Amino acid sequence: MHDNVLISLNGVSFSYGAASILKDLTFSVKRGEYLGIIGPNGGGKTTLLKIMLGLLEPTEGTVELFGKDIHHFAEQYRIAYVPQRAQEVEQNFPATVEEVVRIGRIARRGVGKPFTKKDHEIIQNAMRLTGIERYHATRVGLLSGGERQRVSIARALAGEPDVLILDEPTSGVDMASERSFYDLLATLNREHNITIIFVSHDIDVVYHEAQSVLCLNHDLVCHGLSSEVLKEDVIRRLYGDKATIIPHSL
Amino acid sequence: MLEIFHYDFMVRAFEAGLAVAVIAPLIGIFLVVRRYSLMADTLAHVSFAGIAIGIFLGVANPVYAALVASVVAALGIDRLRGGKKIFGESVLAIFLSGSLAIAVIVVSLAHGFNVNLLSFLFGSVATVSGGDVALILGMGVLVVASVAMFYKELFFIAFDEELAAASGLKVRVLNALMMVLAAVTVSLSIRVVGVLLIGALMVIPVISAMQFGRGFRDTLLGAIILSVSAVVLGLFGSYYLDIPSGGAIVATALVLFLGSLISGKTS
Repeated sequence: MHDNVLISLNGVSFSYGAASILKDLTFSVKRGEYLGIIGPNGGGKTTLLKIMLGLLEPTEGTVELFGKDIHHFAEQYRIAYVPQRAQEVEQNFPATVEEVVRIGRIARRGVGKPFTKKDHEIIQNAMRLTGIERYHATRVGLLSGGERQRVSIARALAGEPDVLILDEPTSGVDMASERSFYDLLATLNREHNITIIFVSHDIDVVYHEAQSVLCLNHDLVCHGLSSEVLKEDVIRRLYGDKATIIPHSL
Repeated sequence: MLEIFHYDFMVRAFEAGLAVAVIAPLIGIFLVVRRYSLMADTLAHVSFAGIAIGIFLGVANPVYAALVASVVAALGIDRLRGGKKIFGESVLAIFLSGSLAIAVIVVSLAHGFNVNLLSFLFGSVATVSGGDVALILGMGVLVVASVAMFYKELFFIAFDEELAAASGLKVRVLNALMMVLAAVTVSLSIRVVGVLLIGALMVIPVISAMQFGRGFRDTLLGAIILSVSAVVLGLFGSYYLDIPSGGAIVATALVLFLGSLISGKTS
């Protein structure tokens, strides 16, 4: 296994009873890659992310993380996860921004072990990098959708991950916040060498933001550089013959 | 006013009550934010079945029987809930009504209710023995130490269980630990507050503190202060008004809740 391959799926299938969700997926994600995953609703995008995270067990096939079989991989904190609608924290949940960011450091530090001074510095840095430092003592449920999304990213960064996996990260976030959010992801990818994998329903966003794209509709429809593979025929294979591309920009 | 402390049984009631006042919201906050407020009530009913069985079998201190029954039930609830074949609240309903049914059968086999059993329903300071105080303090220290050790992890799971699992935390083990701590807390508290009211002491101070606490730690500290206040004022009320301690404590907690609701709205 090449050192640069961080996530590798080989012949992965997944089904719920008789319903086949993913069929025979084989692909890998390299260090520093910025991968967008697109596909129709119910096409298996979130299931694929959960298999990569070890939250779901594939029915067939194998998953390797950092060159190790996922069952023998004990450093899950190296892959940070921002789930779908992570910004939908209940308003009444009693947690400050800093308390939420801190939880991203727990697995890296080790269960039952207190944080060190260095841990606290890394937590502060994560808040500074994402521009939420001034809200550190605010109840997280009182922030806007865009601010909460930044809290999710800060929480993920507090674990100093190699890979950041995001599921529909900007759903429910306004346009201005969406633009600055993708700028932040680009910075993390380029300047901090964090590998980014994100699911989006927005083909245009994937085309403009991601370096590579994986098209999924139960099976792998395409995988390659987004500028090369995102053609009209691929979109039609993904979404059906009636699909029309209307470009927009953030 | 301090003549109350001339009586050994009241001193024991205060010792046990203060320990319960600290651990009830300490565990209660994790149940409340995870929408498991009914867990405390369920485990209290299981404890009652345990006490009935303990008295029936002639166990010297039936609180031990309650402890065993509620820990076993807590692990069972956690297992069934984790299986996801039954809704979480349905699991609680099964255990709540099932354990009450067992208690009623055992009481019937023992030829009726007796005063001893009634004292467990509503709490009675007069029945708190030296052995009870030692048990409550000892197990209370264990509960506090466990929460202190795994505070960060328990908070993480309470905030987002799936995220905690994705980061590599052993969520099932930590959930089981939480359930066991809840079971221990409930069974220890019934001497003072009673089976029917312990749920309230674990929940009301927490939701009161949530009206003004910004963070989890603030809210927890606020809940403990409110709970201690409710227990102290309630025990005084119980002694001077000659009313059951459980009712007096929970009624005080309710008054404090109303106060926090009003002050929370005005702030």
